[in-house]
Amino acid sequence: MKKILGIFMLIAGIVIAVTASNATFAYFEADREVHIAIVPDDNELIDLVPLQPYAYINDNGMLVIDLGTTNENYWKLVEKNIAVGEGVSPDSVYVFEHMFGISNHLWEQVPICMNVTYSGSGAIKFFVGEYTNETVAAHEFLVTIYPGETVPIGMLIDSEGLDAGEALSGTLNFDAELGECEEEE
Amino acid sequence: MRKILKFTVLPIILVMIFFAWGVFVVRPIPVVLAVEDNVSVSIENPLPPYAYLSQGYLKIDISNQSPLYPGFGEGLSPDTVYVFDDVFEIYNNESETGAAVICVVISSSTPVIGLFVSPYPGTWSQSIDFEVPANQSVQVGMRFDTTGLGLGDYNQNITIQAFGGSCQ
Repeated sequence: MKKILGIFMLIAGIVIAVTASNATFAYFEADREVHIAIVPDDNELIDLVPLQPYAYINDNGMLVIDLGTTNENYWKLVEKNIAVGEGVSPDSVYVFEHMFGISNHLWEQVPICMNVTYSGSGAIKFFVGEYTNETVAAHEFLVTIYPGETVPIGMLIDSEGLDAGEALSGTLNFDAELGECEEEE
Repeated sequence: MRKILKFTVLPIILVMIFFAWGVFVVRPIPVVLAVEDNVSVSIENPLPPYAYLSQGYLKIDISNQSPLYPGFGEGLSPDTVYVFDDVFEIYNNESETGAAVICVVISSSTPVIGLFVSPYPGTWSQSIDFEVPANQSVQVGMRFDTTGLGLGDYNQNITIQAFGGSCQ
């Protein structure tokens, strides 16, 4: 009889112990997975898409604008025996509309305000959309991009005062924030 | 003979209780951490679209393998910084935690993944801690810096810890 009582006590003890440990919260620890796909510029949430052969996505997945012989599209044209230019000449102005596009592929379907800044050779400027008499190319501008939309960006090169053989280079910086751009005009 | 029977019956009863208990606790609550983490509370809550519950556990997924992938925007590009407000939230359900306040510590082992309490205060950290009062929630944002990462899948873990009581 005593033994049976003992067994019951033991069981009761285990039950109480389990219940007690469940009822009082003391500590919680958990590892949670984070999975990110690193994808080329033209597949990501905010895409940079080349729209002309002068722009392309390099092996590292980054957009490159290249008007020289290091551009692989240049060699593709050469292979086809098509005469192509090797660069831009001094003292001239080149305007390339739709050099590349910026699109908004965020999953939340929200508009963004993109601030594009360029740093490098002063001869290069950028503009949004078509090039008209009123277009002012700049080193920095703001543009609102709505979900699913692609905004074309053009490039202007003013090689005045530059010598042949000189290389122009610079870096574009893209900085986007949630919401439409506030009108600054 | 009887004694032997008794002693074999006892473990069987214990094993049965153990299993009965497991079935009883585990089944009715889908988001349960009772088995691995020895606690039967859930405090994590994904805030779509970049986070979801994968088999009951929070998972942050920015790739075309996410069930919430809308068909565009396959991931993040290299050498880019992304800041997302409200990726998931920590909820202190007092009836589960039994604590009027819990202290939560979230940490990441890599500078690629930064953490902050939403909305983005302009700063971030690899390890953040904050208090969650009873029946309230705190939204957590994440900052991804893909500088130096090559193309492909990137997998990491973040660790969530919670203690009953305030952070001190």
